[in-house]
Amino acid sequence: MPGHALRFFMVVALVPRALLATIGAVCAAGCIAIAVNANHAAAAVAPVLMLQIFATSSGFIIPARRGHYDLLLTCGARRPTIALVHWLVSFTPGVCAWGVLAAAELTAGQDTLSTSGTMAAVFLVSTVPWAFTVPLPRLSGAIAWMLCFVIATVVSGQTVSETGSLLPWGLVGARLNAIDAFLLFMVGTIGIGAAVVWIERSNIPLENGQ
Amino acid sequence: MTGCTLAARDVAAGYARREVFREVSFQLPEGQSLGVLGPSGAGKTTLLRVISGLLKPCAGDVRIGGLAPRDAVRRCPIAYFAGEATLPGSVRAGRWGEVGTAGLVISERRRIRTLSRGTRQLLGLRTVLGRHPLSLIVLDEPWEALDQDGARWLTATLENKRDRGAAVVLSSHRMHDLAGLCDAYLFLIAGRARLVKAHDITRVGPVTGALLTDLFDKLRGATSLRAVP
Repeated sequence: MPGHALRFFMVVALVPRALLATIGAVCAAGCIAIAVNANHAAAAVAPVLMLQIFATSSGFIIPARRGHYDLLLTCGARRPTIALVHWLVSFTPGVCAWGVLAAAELTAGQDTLSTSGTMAAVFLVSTVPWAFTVPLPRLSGAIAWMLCFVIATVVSGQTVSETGSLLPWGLVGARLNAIDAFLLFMVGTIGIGAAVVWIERSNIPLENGQ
Repeated sequence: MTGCTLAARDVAAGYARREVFREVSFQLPEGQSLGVLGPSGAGKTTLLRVISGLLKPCAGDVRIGGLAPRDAVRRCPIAYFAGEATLPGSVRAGRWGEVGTAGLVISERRRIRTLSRGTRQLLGLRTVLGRHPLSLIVLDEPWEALDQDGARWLTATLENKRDRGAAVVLSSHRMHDLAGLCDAYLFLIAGRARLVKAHDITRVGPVTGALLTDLFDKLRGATSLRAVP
């Protein structure tokens, strides 16, 4: 059944093809930048992380209420399995792009993209926007994240680069201690857990059937 | 073909504080069909989604082969389709058919949103009815937008599946769609349900659209819309 859910979500193109193409192009450009100068690795991964926020803000309940997932939801697969496959399909493009860039950087003899901070950044952008967007329209998680960043920048009176820690690339290259790494891991994990429970317990009426 | 008896007991359903219907009870053995009739907004779609496990009832329970719907769909293969509007428009028609049945349903490369309504409806129906085996078929207004050929194909397919042991639940707001096809009819009117067996409507010949319309008018009393003079 996970195989069927995987095939289903690939066919319905959870991540729009234009976004996939952009991630691919940014990844290719990043590889070239790293090949020219390995010190550019952090700058190369930043747009990938930004695009990943949009890719994982895929939304579940709204398309389900439009009936788009009826075929899958009545085929016998368990809802938590469906939810996790939905998340998997949403985060895979960005994680693959990060993996390619990290491999390119390692080949060039540096490890900025393999540090615990970078991994935490990738984990956060792959979990929190997805979990937040589950009951909301597509891209809500990304918009909320950007909104928080803008508000923090305006309220604090700092520059964009100073409030960069609110954006995931504030963590890129950092070496986290165990407690920080654990806390960030728990944020993402709790988010995913809550979203899966939400999907499992949700009623899915038809929007035009109410 | 694995048969599963569908049973509903005192089912009530609604949205937020609005109750759509209550006290819906029926039993549908394998190899039989039930027609759900009622005016627009009577709760036909809601009842069908409760049967399919997509909605939880507010009261009462639905059992398919003795199990709650969400557990039953793992053992009793279900075909559920709520109309062409539920198909994702950006998907290519051929790929949608393949993901539903693992076989070719339609050799159409265009995106679903570019197809005509009737073709979309046919694509959705062929995708869910192409699964084998099927124990329960739940279709919401399945004749909507179909042309004559499509309607004939649908009726023949449903009769074939029913004769091979599948329980069939169909909804429509047009009496003639379901006339003669079902073993029992469930009228949803003003939040209440009334189950009528086909042989209680007429003991001679098949149930016709006119007979169902007469019965429907009798059940709902004097609330019908009158023609504008």
